[in-house]
Amino acid sequence: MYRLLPAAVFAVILIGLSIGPVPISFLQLSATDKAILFNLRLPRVLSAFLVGGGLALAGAIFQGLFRNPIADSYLLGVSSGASLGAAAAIVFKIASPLASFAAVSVFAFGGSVAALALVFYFAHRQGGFSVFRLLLSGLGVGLFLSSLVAIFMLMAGEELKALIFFFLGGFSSSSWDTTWVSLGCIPLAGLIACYFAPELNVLLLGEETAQSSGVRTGRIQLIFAILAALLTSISVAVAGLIGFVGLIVPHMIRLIFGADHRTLFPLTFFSGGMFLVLCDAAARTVMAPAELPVGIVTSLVGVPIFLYLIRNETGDLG
Amino acid sequence: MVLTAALPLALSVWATARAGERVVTDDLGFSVRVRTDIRKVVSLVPTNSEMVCLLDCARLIGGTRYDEFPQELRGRIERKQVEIIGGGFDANLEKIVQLQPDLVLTNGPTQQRFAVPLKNLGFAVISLWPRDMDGLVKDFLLLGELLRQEQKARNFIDDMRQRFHVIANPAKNKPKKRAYLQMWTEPLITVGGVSFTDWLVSAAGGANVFGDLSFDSGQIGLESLIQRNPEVLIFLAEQAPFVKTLSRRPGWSAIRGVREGRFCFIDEPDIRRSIMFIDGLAKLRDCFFPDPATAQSPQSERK
Repeated sequence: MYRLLPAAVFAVILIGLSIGPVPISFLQLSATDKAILFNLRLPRVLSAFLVGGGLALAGAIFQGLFRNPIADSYLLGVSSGASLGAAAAIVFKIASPLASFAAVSVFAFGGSVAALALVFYFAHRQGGFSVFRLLLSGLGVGLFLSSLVAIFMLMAGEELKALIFFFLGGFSSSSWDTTWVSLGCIPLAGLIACYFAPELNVLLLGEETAQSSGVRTGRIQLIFAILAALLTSISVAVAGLIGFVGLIVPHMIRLIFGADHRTLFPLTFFSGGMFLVLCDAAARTVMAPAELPVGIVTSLVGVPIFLYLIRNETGDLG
Repeated sequence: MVLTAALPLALSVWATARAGERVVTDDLGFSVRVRTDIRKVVSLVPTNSEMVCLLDCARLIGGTRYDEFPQELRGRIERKQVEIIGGGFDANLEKIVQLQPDLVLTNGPTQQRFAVPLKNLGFAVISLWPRDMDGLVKDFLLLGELLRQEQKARNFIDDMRQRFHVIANPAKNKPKKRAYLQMWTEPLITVGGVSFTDWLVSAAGGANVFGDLSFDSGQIGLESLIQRNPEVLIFLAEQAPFVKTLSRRPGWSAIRGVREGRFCFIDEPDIRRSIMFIDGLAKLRDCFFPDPATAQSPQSERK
């Protein structure tokens, strides 16, 4: 499987690069073809890959962290926190996605950390998180923060509204500026997550058990919470709210390869990346030259799988 | 890689003209370096397509799927002489790059998400975002200069100004009619003070009852509409079925214009932000002052 993975990733990226409204022959590249391929499609495919991988990995981390099969950045309100952070930065004229994308990402990160802290605060009880409390807290925090974003949108003049749309824009305006930030942060966060994966495995047995086997649970929880918030915020800053990638991809991998985080994390990352590259390729070809928002494609594919999983869930979700 | 992408952007801020190029400042305040011999133009906005086409249609090689004016452009689109690059919100960057335009025309800030990557790739992108007639004249003259059609542009503008005075003058010294312009029925959406339509209404002798709101267009409530009590209500033609039900809708009869039946219908192209706004202006003027003494609007020709 591990040997097949690079080949699969390579093939999917190649598919992503070769599909587009302008047909390009790889054998005879004109100057225009090169510009389209290297300055538009390559950053777009890389962005989709990194965001997909990042969201899926964030989902896997949240599911492990909360010992809960249906946690992901979107359902936990962390994505809404990230968009609130970015929107606040734009509305209060602290940073603009046109001038400095990295600065907006920093504020998105702040927003997602704050959202996650709120969810922690409301959902945590002695010994862990109940599924109900966690999901309801996430739902509540997410809805509340989303309404704040809506209020910012109303407050903002026409110019700012446009800027806010900028980071809700899927991948259609991806360029190297935005790809650079994700290229720097997302793989790094992935490596750190893999490094601490064994300790998260122990944490799955329960906080008390983990503590008695020498795992510093508080520190591990904090590291993973920050990693997941980072992955979420960069993804939101690059492509806006994209649901269900963080939910279905880790689930699939867990169903097929088991719940060991040492294999779950890398596999989830690469599969999530491939999934979103393919969804984005579909988004820009199905109704070409018009483009579907990629979030619609992931939900169209993701929600039926999500519902199927709920239907077949034998464990007690409550 | 990021450096090579950021460099043209940084340069465009302190753009200096080189041989065969000139530097212009667009409506968003960006200095843009443009070739002096522009042969290929791509427009991401129907009104920009229209204005380019009025000057020299053959140079417009890419437009939007909503382009419909002037007539000549429709023909060129049908004959596939103009490539459709998508719409204002989903312009296709790859198609634009493939066309290798000398000049790309966008509207205001909403299209910056396309303008920024295109500028990064070295394309000349100009934002045309006029809010009133002066702004339109300035932009049209700029287009005239860029396309080396200055005389044609000036002729158009002289003609337009003449017709503007004929239409707007009779209404000039009359008390402004309090007007409500409805862009959408459910929810109620109207135009605010920072819109071209707001200016058009006032030039035609009306006063937008929601002109104090600082949006281009936005949602309002029936209560505030009743409170602002417009004398004339302007609807888009497709809202006719809604207007027929007004008498049955609670609250509406409290509005003076509704009681007096002062309804007016316009088409969406009538209020477009183009140099050809004059026909729409005449229609609006007749909405506010339908009496024959003022209704001496010249035969308006729809291009």
